Amino acid sequence: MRIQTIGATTLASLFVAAACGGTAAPSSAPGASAATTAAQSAAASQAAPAVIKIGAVLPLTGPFNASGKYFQQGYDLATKEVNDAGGLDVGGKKYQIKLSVLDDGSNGTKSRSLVEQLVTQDKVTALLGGYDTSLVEAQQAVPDQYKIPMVEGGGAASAIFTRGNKYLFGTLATVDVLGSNTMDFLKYWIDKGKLPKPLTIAVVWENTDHGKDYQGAVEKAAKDHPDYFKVVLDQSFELNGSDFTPLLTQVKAANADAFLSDAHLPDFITMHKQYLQLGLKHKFVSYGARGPDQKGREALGAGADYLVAGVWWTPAQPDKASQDFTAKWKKAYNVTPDWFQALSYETARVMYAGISKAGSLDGTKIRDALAGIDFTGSILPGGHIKFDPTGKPLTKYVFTQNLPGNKVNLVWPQGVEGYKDAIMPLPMGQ
Amino acid sequence: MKILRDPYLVAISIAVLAALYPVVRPNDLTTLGLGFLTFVFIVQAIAWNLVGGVAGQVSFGFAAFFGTGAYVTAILWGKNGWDPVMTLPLAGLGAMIVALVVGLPTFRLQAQYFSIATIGVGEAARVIAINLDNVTGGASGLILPFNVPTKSWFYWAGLILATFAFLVSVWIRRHRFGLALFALRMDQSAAESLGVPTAIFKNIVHMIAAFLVGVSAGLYVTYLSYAHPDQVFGFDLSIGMVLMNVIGGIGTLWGPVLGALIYFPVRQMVLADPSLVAVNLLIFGALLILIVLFEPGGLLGLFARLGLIARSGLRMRPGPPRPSAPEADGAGVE
Repeated sequence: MRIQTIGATTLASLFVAAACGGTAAPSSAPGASAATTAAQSAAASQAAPAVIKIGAVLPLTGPFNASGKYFQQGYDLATKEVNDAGGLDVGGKKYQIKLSVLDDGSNGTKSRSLVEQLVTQDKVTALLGGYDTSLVEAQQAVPDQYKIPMVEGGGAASAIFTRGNKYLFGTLATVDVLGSNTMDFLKYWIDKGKLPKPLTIAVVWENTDHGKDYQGAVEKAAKDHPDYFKVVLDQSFELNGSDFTPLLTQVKAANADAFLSDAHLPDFITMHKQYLQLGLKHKFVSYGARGPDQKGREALGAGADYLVAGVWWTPAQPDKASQDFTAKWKKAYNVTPDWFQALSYETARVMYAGISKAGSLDGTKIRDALAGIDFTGSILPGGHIKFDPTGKPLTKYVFTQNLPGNKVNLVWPQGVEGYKDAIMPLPMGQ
Repeated sequence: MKILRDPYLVAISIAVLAALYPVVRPNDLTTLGLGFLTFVFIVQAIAWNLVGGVAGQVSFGFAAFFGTGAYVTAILWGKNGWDPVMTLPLAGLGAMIVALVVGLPTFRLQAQYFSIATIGVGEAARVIAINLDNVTGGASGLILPFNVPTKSWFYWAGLILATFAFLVSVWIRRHRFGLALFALRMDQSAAESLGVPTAIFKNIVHMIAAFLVGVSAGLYVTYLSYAHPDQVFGFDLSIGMVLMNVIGGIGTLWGPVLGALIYFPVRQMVLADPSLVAVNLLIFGALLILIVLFEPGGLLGLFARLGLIARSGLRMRPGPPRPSAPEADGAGVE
């Protein structure tokens, strides 16, 4: 084959890779925010000689770019607060925090390499985790290999905490808990006579550890309570899909009472749009942790009304800490925050509290401090953040139901502040 | 300067010199890591060149071999507790088997049709791997044990493998087998009429190349402690192997090495710079156009041209140089 032919074919392949948003082609430049962070940090480091370097690798481009940017904003705000207050107290000395955020383009291998780069080249003291579960899993070898602690708020699969990490801590309650809480919620409404008994369920889940956690919890509940639940469809789907019509056609054919889906934000929006286009109706619909997100509600409009979601935080929480955070966020970024922003903010705050508690910049001492921390004053449900011996968070979910007019009710657990009964069955499924 | 004309001696001398770096700077983890990854890319480029350059069978499906090798190591090490080093020959063997399965039907196709078929093979392998989530971890990939050897160890292991791949390449080019591959590249019908079993030879060289790529993939996932179908079966890997050879000089001995030495650091630099990430394919596309238009022989062709100009008192050589024949080893651009 002539070199010109090889060149033309390779060039065509490059265009195809670019068009498909392949791993070598993140969709857009990350913009100026990373540079701004660096500039702010540089200015801060000039003002105060003592600096702690903190690193994070986030998907600022690629399929998870929206969530990645939310996380960056959360990390930035928490860092700014510490620096504006005079710095972080470590062993009686004040340190300014220099936060370096790198973009992995939603690519796992790149994410892992960049985290290592932050450790070996930038010599960071500690790491803040990435988003989502698959990217956190790609990163999770580095903290233990280099004994540099990481707190992450973007990975929720329970599998993350089964690999023997000593230097990794999470702030997201794991998805198996979300699945079992969802089934408890359904059982409550079956007992109240608002949902049929047994409830037939169509469950679809992304084929990641995240999705497997959710599916496992649904399957377990159906096995434990065969009189309450009957799974009539159990199907996985590929992450970051563009056409869920074949899958939803199966859901339609299953003729279930409830539709449960574990999906990330981009897949939730695509899938629910197609769900509405196909005219599907169920007495209960939940996309796991998706539903009240502003991006989803903007994209789906009234189509997202009445969806029920289990989330790690919501601006609908009436407690003072949450309301103060919401006001602070609106002032800083002029938008209402979702759980992404809240969790990233809390993730950074826990890390900084751990460093302060350790009174040292030694990675092992910070790790030990984090392992024993009980972070109070958190905006997360329950107000505390602490970890079990595997680094898994002992935090809770709160369930929301979307209402018309971009409103949200807290509908589970019953004792939660601001609780209101859910509208059940969902109006569109009657 | 006869020693400089012996590629075996030159390669071993360079390898010995390069091997001293971890001794001199054992704590320079960044360079050691980059060095290891560069060696992995050199192995890929050399392996691809055996099939695409020497035998003239341009494949865009080498990611299937890389992914297979990666997952053989990942599964045996991560799920069955094998020592990762012991898995490396099997990673190569797994890739060889895939190469045979792919090669038997696709080598029946001619030139461009073969290339198009290999694009499908690479992408099909990725999709299958994504959907075999019980084996490959699906979209979550496989998280592997964290207790891995030191960066120096990886550097040396990568260097040894790259040197081995280069020596294999030299040996093939000097052997009758290599001559037969050159013959089938130039004219398959003529080669067959002279008694060259082209179908068998194409499959053999394909399997040798796949073995090298598979072993390098095993080392790669050991280094990362992570394997993900999108990354180890990614189409960009296959394109990268072609690009490295186009940059360095397809069909030459040192071209793949030079191409990898340039392509990998540039790629790392581009992908690490937020302002360049979005245009990384544009950069490589532009580079490709420039090379194909102005120097089809790649950088080695350019060096040869400059050498000729210098020797002939600024007189331009008519036409671009062609990929060299094996008898030119150790001389000129080789």
